[in-house]
Amino acid sequence: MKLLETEWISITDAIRKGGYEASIITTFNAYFPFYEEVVLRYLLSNGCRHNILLMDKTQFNECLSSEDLSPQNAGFDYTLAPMKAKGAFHPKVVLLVGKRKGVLFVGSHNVTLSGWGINKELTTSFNISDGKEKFGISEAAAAWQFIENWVLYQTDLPSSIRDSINAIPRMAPWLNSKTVDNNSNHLFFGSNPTGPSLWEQIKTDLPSRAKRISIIGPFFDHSLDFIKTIQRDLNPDEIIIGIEPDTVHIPTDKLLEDKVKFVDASSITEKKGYLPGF
Amino acid sequence: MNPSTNWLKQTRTSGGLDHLGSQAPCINLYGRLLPGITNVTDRGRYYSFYPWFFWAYEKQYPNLVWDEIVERFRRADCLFTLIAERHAQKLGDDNYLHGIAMVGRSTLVEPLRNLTKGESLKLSKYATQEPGNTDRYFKNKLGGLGQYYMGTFVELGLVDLISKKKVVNYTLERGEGIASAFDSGVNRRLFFETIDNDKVDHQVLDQLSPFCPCQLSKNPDEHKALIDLFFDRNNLYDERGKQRRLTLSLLLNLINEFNKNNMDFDQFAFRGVVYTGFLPDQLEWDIHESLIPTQKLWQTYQRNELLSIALQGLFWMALNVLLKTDPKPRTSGEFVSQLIENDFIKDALAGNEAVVFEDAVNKIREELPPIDLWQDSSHEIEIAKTIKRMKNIKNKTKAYTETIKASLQIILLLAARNDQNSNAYANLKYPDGYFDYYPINLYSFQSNLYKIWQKMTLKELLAWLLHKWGIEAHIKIALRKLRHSSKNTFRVYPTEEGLKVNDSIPEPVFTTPRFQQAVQVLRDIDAIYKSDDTARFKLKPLGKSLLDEAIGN
Repeated sequence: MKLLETEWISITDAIRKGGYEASIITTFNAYFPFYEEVVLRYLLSNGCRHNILLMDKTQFNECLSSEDLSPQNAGFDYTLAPMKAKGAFHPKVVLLVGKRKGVLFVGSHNVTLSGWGINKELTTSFNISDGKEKFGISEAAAAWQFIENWVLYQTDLPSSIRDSINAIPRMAPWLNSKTVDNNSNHLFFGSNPTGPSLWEQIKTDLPSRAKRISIIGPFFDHSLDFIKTIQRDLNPDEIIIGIEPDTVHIPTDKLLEDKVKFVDASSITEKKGYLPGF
Repeated sequence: MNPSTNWLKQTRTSGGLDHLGSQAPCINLYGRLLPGITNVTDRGRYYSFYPWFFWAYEKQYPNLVWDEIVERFRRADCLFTLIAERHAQKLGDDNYLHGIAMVGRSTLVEPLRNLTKGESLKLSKYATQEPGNTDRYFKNKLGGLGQYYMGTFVELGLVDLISKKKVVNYTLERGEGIASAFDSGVNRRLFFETIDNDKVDHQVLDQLSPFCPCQLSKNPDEHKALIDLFFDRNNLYDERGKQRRLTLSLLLNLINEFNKNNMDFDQFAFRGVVYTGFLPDQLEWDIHESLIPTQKLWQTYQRNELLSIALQGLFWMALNVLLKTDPKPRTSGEFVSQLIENDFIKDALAGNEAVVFEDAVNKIREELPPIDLWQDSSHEIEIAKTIKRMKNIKNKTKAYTETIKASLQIILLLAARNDQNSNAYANLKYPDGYFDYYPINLYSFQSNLYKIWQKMTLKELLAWLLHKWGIEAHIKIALRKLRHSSKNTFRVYPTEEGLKVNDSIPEPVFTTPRFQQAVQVLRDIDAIYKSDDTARFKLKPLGKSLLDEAIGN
């Protein structure tokens, strides 16, 4: 996989290409006016009539507390499933499916105005074909299985919502491809409601020691435990962390080893080179 | 590439206009009241010159291909402007008759001014399409036609646009007649020789002076053809042509009325008169009954403008306050509930926070400034002008207080003058769903008066306006623009860190109801002139006869 092509990815452009019958989008946070007025309208006007949004339940409840943020058309124009989770329901997956094709985006993008068009967000896209040529199916099937796992974990989801979600593979039978299991060679990783964390899943595919690790992120945990875990597990010579100083959420009172270096990555989408790997 | 990891494409930011969608009904209204003349169709003679170019070109060079025509067209566009400018220079006249608003003028005036006797200019130097070339007179491939006049001319049936090939030609039905009329008064051969030779000097520009817009009335066939077009004297354009004639006639009537009373006529005077039906200083307006329906429609336009400017003022104030608010509130509702508790809001409401809207309207109705007193500072016409000036007040708190006072006062005055039984947009028909796109309009205003606002206190009303017809209205409009054009026109938008304000906060503005262009067209066809002694517009005999004709005298 080649990282960071110069081409920018637009999810809305992909929607507008058409040819999809259903969409399922997962998000931690959502700005419903954006989903309902922009994303959903693109989906519907391009023939994608069965649309589902899965969103973290705590965030959803917060939206309900404000009339500016509440959904207006959920249950009528699309299916909305609030997802409970032990920590947070945080995956950002966009899966658009048709009978013989699809596209999968896995990235950092919440379904918000800033997440889909203003912030600096990364995504990995997989084009999927179940035609003469077959590609991307194992990743899509893995993503679908990941979503199914989360849906199964929701004990209080009404059956109508469950039925709506379960209808997706009928529109894209290739989603039920049997090639997906824990050991298969696909590139989709997600943290399931129970089971190993994302890091534990990825770690097994990484070398035991790294020379240098480059990280970018807007949010860091309160005690910087994740960085310490990476340090412990891969024991790199150096870690370079790119942050946007004006917006980053990071504890300033936690000490890290000298080999951890922070750089200002505010211009990361405009120029390359100062953050190795990007 | 499958798979590929990339940055998500960010939306293109764009300045945008009409951030609340409150101006769209006004724009729609003036578009219907003055069809065929727009805010960018500045000069009357382009209505004959551009169709003539394609007609004459066909005669001159029947076998040239489109790219060659474009090249010659661009030279012709430059030459037309240079002729007009040279004519003004030579006669030392008021430029309004010659070069004003001619295409590419800002680029071409200087080289012409520096051109001395015996020297020449190369037209191709300015007609170039080379990107970034500072000598290029216009970026659009078809110059002023492509940028300003095309849509209107297609609508009027003067030219055809074969969109697949982007080829333009005159139409046989309407373009040809006007083109041949233009041709009867100019030296076509010399014009095309000049663009072919790619060289102009004073002598040739002087020889081509019959092309100057000021010479329109000297060419009887063309003059008649353009008068027929603008006043639709042959009833070719149905209701639209009739409405154009009525608005132009209303302007002629007003020019005459203002002149009779020794008063200056400008866009603000126009707004005041059509809104109230009275001339300045409470003078009676001698308006013929056939023009009254048109005046009433312009009155509706102005009423909508007043509503729009009041809300734009509140929006401007709210965004300025939000810009300085830290931490940023999460939602517009949260922000407004903070904002409404500010001291300057209390000052603006001046102890009337708890007064019920309905009572406030009744009270203001008792003290209502007479409708005809529109130059008085208590009249909504004058108050609206003050909102535009608030940005100049250095003391920002004072500016915000005054803006709120002015905006609320306009809302109250509009409510007090509202006729519950009248149709807010007279008998104009709108497509189904039109007002869903533009929720701030006179229908919703009228409906809210009785259904939502009636029992609110003034403080609650203000909060409602700031929230629903302020930030939330903007976000809805900007989301719609994002959907339709993929452009980010948000001036305030929700983020993970709360509501963010774009630095360029839109200032309250009126729409531009094609007033300048309509007056210029009347001037170009020689229906009006500006008198040397008073610098006021007066009717010429043609203007008087056109007015008489329109009102059936």
